Amino acid sequence: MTNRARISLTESYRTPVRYDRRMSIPNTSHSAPSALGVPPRDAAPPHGIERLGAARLATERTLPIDPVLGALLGAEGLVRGQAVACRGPAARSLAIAASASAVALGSWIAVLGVDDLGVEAVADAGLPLERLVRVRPGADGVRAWADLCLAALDGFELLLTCPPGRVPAPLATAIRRRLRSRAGCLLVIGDPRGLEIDVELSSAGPSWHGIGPGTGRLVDRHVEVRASGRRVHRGGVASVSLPGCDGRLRAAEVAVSDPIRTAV
Amino acid sequence: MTVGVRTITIRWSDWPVSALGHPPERPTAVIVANRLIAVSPGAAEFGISVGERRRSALRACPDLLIVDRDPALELAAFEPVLEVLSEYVPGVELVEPGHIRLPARGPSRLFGGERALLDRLAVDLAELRPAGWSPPGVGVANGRALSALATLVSIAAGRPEVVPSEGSPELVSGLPVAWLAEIGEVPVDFVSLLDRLGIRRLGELASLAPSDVVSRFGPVGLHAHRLANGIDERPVNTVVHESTSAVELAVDDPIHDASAVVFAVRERAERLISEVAASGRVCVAVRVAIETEHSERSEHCWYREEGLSAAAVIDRVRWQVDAWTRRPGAVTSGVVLVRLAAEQVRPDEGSQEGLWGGRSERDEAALRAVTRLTSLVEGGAVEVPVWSGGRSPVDRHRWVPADTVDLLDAARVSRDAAPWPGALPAPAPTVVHRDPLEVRLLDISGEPVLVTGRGEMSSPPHELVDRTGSRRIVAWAGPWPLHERWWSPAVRRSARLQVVLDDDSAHLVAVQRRQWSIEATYG
Repeated sequence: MTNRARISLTESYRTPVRYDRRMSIPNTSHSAPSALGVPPRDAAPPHGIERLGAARLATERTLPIDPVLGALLGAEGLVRGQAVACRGPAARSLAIAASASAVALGSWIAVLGVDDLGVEAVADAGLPLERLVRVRPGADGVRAWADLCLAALDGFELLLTCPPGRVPAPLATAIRRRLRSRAGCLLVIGDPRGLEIDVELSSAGPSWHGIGPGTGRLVDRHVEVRASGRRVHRGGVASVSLPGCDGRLRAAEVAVSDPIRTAV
Repeated sequence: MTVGVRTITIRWSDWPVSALGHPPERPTAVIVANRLIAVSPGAAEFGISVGERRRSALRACPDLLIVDRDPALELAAFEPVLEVLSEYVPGVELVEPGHIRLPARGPSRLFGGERALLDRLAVDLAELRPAGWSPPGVGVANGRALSALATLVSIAAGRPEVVPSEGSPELVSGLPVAWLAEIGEVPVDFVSLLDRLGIRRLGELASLAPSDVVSRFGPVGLHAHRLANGIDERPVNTVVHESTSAVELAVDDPIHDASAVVFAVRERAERLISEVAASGRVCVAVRVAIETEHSERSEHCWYREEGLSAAAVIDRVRWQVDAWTRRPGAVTSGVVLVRLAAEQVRPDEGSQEGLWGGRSERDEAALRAVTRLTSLVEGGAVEVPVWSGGRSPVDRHRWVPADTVDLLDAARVSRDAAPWPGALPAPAPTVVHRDPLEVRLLDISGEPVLVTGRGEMSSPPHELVDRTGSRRIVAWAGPWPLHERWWSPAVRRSARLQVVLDDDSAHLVAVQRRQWSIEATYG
């Protein structure tokens, strides 16, 4: 616990904006969990020690995530040891938005096999570039890619990747096992191609705003994001601006639908 | 009263440039993190100075040759200097290539006084560099920090600066406080804090009561205050405790690859530094000795005032190995032994590395993974972004190999404060094509769309044709003309257009010499 508190303290020095935001959490009796790095929650009843214990466990099991996506996933954040697939026309923006909060709070992210990633967009999404490392896996195929995956999962809490081909079952199992044992989080852009996926974030119905026939410019894109998967408690749909006018994810509205009706 | 051993500091402030081998009159500059760290006399004639940004330097001199720093190259060029100096005294401390320190007492006795020694040195060192480069700054004083300050004075004055043993408070008191950060004695933050408090000269700092300085600034303030009073308490040759060990890497199979040597040494360096840190001290000087199967040997003592982290030690091993292998005929076989010894340690005041630059466990784990990944992929495919500035998404960041930069230095990605006129506003594209995909842009009658020299389109674009087929353009904005580097042969003249296609995908297309291509995609 002391260890964790120390880490988040040094992070506070690095990212003053984040610090300010934490300092302005209205519920002052609840300042201890904020020092532990728990993202502020709306309806968090202060139940003293038990509540604190639960909150701390949550940070150990999860990585922080943007509140909009967090509400959609229904979990406390990105659950460690899970693989998340980002699909649809806004897959890349979605993967960047999903990892930005965790990297801003001190996690490192490896980008494997996504050579044409737009760095500017990553920075605009609020993901600090100083903790981003890109790995270009040569043209040696899936086996070499999987080796790099395993090595990256050893040290990086987040791994953003895109398999170069069909992943054979033994390799997928090895990656899965490493992911669980190192408690990292795997973000796959597009088709998982044989990788075992726990959560799928899919985007649909994109529409660009601010641009017309010969007028304006691209300002923001509205897109519907849907979460599904066997560990997602509530399947919901969020209408978001991704990217918003400043490059970050912005909520348009979150409509959490009834789980039974979604299943039908 | 001053204490401390008589010390000579010699510093060639333009060494990184002169090591490149260009003639001095050619405008050349060496750059780190977008700031110039050394300029040639030719560049100085244009009014370009150290500390400037790339852009402002290019504005002053468009033909300026800007080169990224390469310490291994600098060290390779510096080896002859070290050989000459080894005839004067065995223990030369290397701060970085072009910046060294040696004890003065022995050699000055041998050559008949400090003046005679400096004259001799000046003659010997002048032969080592072609004419046209400025002579090195030479400072002699009691203690390391004072001699470093004297060297800065000497660079400014153009002649060796000898501070007498009994001290000369008037020399120190007139110097700017910022020089303390320049010589690495105090953090830059501390200097800017003093500046905001109105303390600009060392004399003003010295006139404060020591108790006030300590209570306000802690150990850093005390150290700065002592220096401002002309007292340098840290002697050159601190005795190393017996317990502080050296580490050795002896291999049976000679290693022939320079990067493999560095990789193999990493774990030992981490062990050495953590051993020193466990006793509450930091290592300020490390001796790196490398031996080959044929008993060739390269040995240097590296010094860093702020203390050496494991990454800093590994950097120095890499420079040394690279520089050594670059010298023709110096290495004829593989490396069999690397020895790292903590030559000097001092108590860790916890002021510089501990609190501000401290690493978390996550940083350590990531750094280890980077090392492992580097060994798995061939040549420089593990990369990190570095800000370089520019107008198009491809230019704005560069990817550099992860083992050539300090990964924990966040400054490498910080953007220019000044705007780039002509750059596109947010949102930025998430896919940036390294090799732009060539496409055709047609208007409603099927004719190719052109952009005139005045930045006007011949007709509104209607469809975009690429290898896979044709898609209709539902919205578009632009064209925004771009005319870059018009003064040089690398002139680039293009126009950019944002388009939204009927499948709701958005792209940034550019035209150059009548050829349209997709530069980036908003995915």
